[in-house]
Amino acid sequence: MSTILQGKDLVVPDGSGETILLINPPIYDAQYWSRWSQPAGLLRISTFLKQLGYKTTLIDCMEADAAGRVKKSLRKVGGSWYIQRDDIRRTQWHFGISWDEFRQRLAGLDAKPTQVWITSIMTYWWESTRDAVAEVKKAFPNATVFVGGIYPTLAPEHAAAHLGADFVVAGEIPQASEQWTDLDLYETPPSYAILATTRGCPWDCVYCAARTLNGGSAKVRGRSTEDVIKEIEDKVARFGTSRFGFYEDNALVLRGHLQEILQVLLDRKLKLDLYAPEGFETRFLTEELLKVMKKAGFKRIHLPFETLKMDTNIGWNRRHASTASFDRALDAAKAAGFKTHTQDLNAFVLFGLPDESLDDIMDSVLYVHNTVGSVVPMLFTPVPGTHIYKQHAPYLHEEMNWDLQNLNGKLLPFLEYNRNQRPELRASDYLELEKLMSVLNDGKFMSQALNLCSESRVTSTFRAVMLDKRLHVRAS
Amino acid sequence: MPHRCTMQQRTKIRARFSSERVLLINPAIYDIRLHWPKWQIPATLLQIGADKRADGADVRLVDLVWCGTKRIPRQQQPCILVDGSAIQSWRFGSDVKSFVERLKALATDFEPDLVVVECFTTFWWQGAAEAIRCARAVWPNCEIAVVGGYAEFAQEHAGKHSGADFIQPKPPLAETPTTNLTFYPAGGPKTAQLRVGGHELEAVLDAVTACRKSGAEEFSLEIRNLGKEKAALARLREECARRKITIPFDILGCVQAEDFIRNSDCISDLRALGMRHVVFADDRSGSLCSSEAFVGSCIEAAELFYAAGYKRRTDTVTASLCIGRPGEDLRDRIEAVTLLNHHIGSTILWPYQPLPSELPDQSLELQNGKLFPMREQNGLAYKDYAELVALNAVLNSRYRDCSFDFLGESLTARLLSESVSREAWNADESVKGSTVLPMRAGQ
Repeated sequence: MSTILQGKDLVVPDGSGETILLINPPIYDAQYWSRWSQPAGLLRISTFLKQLGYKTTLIDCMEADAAGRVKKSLRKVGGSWYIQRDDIRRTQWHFGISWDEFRQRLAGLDAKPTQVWITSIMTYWWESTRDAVAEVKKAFPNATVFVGGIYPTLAPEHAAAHLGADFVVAGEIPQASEQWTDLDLYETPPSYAILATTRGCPWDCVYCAARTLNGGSAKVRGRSTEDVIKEIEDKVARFGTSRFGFYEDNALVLRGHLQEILQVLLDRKLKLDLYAPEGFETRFLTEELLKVMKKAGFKRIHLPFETLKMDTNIGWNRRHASTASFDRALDAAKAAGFKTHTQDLNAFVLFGLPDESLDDIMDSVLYVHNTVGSVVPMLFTPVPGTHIYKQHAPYLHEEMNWDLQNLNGKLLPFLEYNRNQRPELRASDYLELEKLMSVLNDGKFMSQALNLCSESRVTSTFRAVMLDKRLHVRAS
Repeated sequence: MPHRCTMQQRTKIRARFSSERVLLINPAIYDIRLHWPKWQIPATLLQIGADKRADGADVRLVDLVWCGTKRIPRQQQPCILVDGSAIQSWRFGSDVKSFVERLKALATDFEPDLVVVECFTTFWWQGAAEAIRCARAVWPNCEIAVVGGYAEFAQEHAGKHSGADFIQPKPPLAETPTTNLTFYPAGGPKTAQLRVGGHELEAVLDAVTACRKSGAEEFSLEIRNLGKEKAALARLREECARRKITIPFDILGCVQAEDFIRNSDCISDLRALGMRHVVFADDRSGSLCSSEAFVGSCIEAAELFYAAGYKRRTDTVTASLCIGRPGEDLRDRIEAVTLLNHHIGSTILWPYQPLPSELPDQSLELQNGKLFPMREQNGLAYKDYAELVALNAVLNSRYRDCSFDFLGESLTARLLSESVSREAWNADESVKGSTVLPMRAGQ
C-alpha cells in the first residue's frame, strides 16, 4: 500500500545534482490518438525539479515518430488478443515501447536515479502504470517511486492499493502548475507543445472531472500573459516549435485573457499554428475574439456541442451550454472567416451515457452535420470524481463487478444499463453510431462536406429515396 | 507555329512507322482529378516500345506521370468555369522544365528518328501537344506520332492542334499477356495489365514472372469475354495451384455483373488465382430505362462473390454506375446508388464520356466527363453532379473497413431515418434553449 501525498502539501527538498527519472508509461487500450498527447504535467514537473537543483531524465514510452505514429503491439488479456464485449470484439494493444525496450532503456541510463516520478493519465490505463512501477522497482530497488497525474488524483485509494509505488501524489502540485514544459528532455524536439493559460472551471458538468482535479474549487486562475508569451517565444527560438495546443479546463472564462495573449502574439508577428482540441465554451466565442484567433493561427475550432436539447444540458448541470449559444458562436465564427463543412469548425457529440436517449443523440448528430459539417464522436467514460461516476459507482463496481480498466468508454460500460430503456441495444449499435458520424464527414464536393440535410436537389431527393426505399425494403 | 500535316502526308508517314531509334513519351495530364493514379500506365505506348525493340530498335521511355514511389507531382492550372463555379484544374506529372532537361540529357547520346506520344483520352490533348512541342524543340527533324484515344477519336483535332507529324489511331500491335515494364528503371511501376484469353498458359506465366521481375506487384486482369476466357482462367488457376503461386490481381470494370452471373462457376477460380477486388462494369451501354434490372444483376453477382468468400460492404466487391449520360434522370441515379449502397456497400460512379461528335461545338477540354458535359441536356448543373459524387463518397465511406448501410435494419440506421423524417435539424427554441443563462433551480 502506497502512501498518499496531497500535491499541495508536497515539499521537495533541494536536489544538489541528484538525478530523477521521469516516466510516461505505455498504455493498454483498443485505440490511441498520439496527437496532442504529450505528458505536459510531467514536463512541467521536470522544470520545477531542475529549479530545485535536480537533474532530470525522461523515458517517454509514448513518444511518437516523425510521422506521428506510436509503437504498438498486440496484448493478451485473459489469454485472448481481444476483449469480447457483447457482439463486438475490441483488440487489445500495448501502445508505446515494449517492456523489453523499457527495461533496456532503464538499464541504459547514465546514472541510477534515486527517485522515479511516473505520470498516469487515464483512470482506465492504470494497469500499465502498475506494470511500469514493477519494472522500475526491479531495475532500481532502492529508488523512491512517485506516481502522480490525473488517475492518482481522481482515484488515490485505488492507486495506493494497486500500483506498488512508494508514494501516490494526489492533486495539483502548485509549484509545478505554471512551469513551462521541459522539451529539453527530448532528443528530437517534439513537433508541438502543450500550453495552459488558465486553470479551473466555474461549472461542474456531471460527466467532467475538472472540479475534482482542481481540489473541489470552482475558482479560475490565469497565468500572466507575459509568462505565456515568454514560454511560446522560448519554444519557438530553441526548438523551432510552431504548433501549440491549448489544454485548459475553460480557456475563455477569464474574459479577455486569451484574446490578450493572442493579440500580443500578433503584435510580435509570431506565425504559429494554434489548436484547442478540447474546445471552447460557446457563450464566450464572440466575433471579435474569433477574428483574433484566426489571425493568430487558429485554423480549426472545436466546439463542445455535446447535445441538442436544453433539457439534457440542464440534466447534465450544463445550464451555461445551450444550442442557442452554440448557434450564436457558429454565426460569430462564420463572420470571423471560419467556414462550415470544411473542418475549420468541428463539434463534439457525446454518447454512451447512462439513461441517454438514442433519438436525441441522432438528432444531435444531424444538427451538427447540418450546421457545422464535422461531427466529432465523443464516447463517454465514467471518470472517478465525477457526479455520474459517484451516482453509478455501486452499479459499475458492485453490480457489474468492474474495475477501472473496464470503465473505458470504448468498452461501453453503460451498455447493459441502457438496455433497461432499449432491450434490443447491442454493443455494435454504438459502433454503428460512431461509423455514421465518421461517414457523414466524408462526402466532399467543391471543397466542402456534403450536407445531407440541405435543400439541394441531390440531398433532398436522397432523403426522399431513403425514406421511401426503407419502407419498400421493409415491406419486401 | 504548330506543325500541321495533311491527311495525305499522314498516310505516307504512317507507312514509315518503322524506325531504329524510338523515344516513347507518356505526357503530363491536364485534368481536374486523376482517378486510380497507380493504374495510369501507358500500356499502348509500352507495347509499341516492346514491338519496336523486338524489331531491333533502340527504344527509350520518358514517362512524366510515373514518378517512382512519390505521389504524382501536380501544378496548379487556371480554374475552369462551369455553371458559375470555378473548378480547379491541374497538370499532373513532372513539370515542363524538368521534362525538357530530361530530353536534353537524353539528347547527348540519343537521337530518335521517331517519337511516339500516347494520349489516352481526347480531353488530355494539351499534355500531348506540350510534349510534342518540347520534343520538337530538342529534335527538330525527328518525326513525331501521337497514339491513343485522342488519336482514335479526335483525329481532325489532333491533326490541327497536337503538332504531331502523324496520327496513329490504332497502331498495329502484337498482343502480349502483360504490360512490358522493362522500359522503366529499377523500382518502376508496381502495376501492370494481364490478359489470359488468347494466350498459351506458359506464355502467361512467363510474362507474369517477367513482369514481377520488373517490379509489378499487382495486375489488372483484362477480360473481353468471360464465357470464352473462363476455361483459360481455370487452367491458369490449376497450374498456379500446382506451382503454389498466386497472382494478385483486380478486375476493374471490364466485366458486366450479368456475365459473372452467367459464368458463376469461374468466381471460385478467380478467387483461388488471386483476385482481390472486382469492379463490375457500369451501365453506360445499357438502356436508360433498365436501372432496376442493372442494379438487380449487380446485387445478384455480388451475392455470388460473397458466397465465394469475399467480405460484404468492403471494397473487395464494387458496383459501378455511369452518371452524366444524355437523358438520364437524377432520381433514378440516386435510387440506384442508394440501393447499391444497401446491398453491396461499395459503388464507383463513372462519368459518362461523350465522343467529340456528340458535342461538336464544345472544346475537348470541356468535354471531360468529370465536368458532366451533357448536364444541360439533362436539366442539371455541375453542382448537382458534384453533389451526387459526394453523396456516393458518403455512401462508400469506410469505417473499420465497412461502409454504413443507410437502408439497413441496424438500430442506428432506423434512428437516422426517424430523425430525417422529422427533420430534427430544424429544432426550435423550445428544444435548443436560449442564449440567456437560465437561473438555477430555486433561484
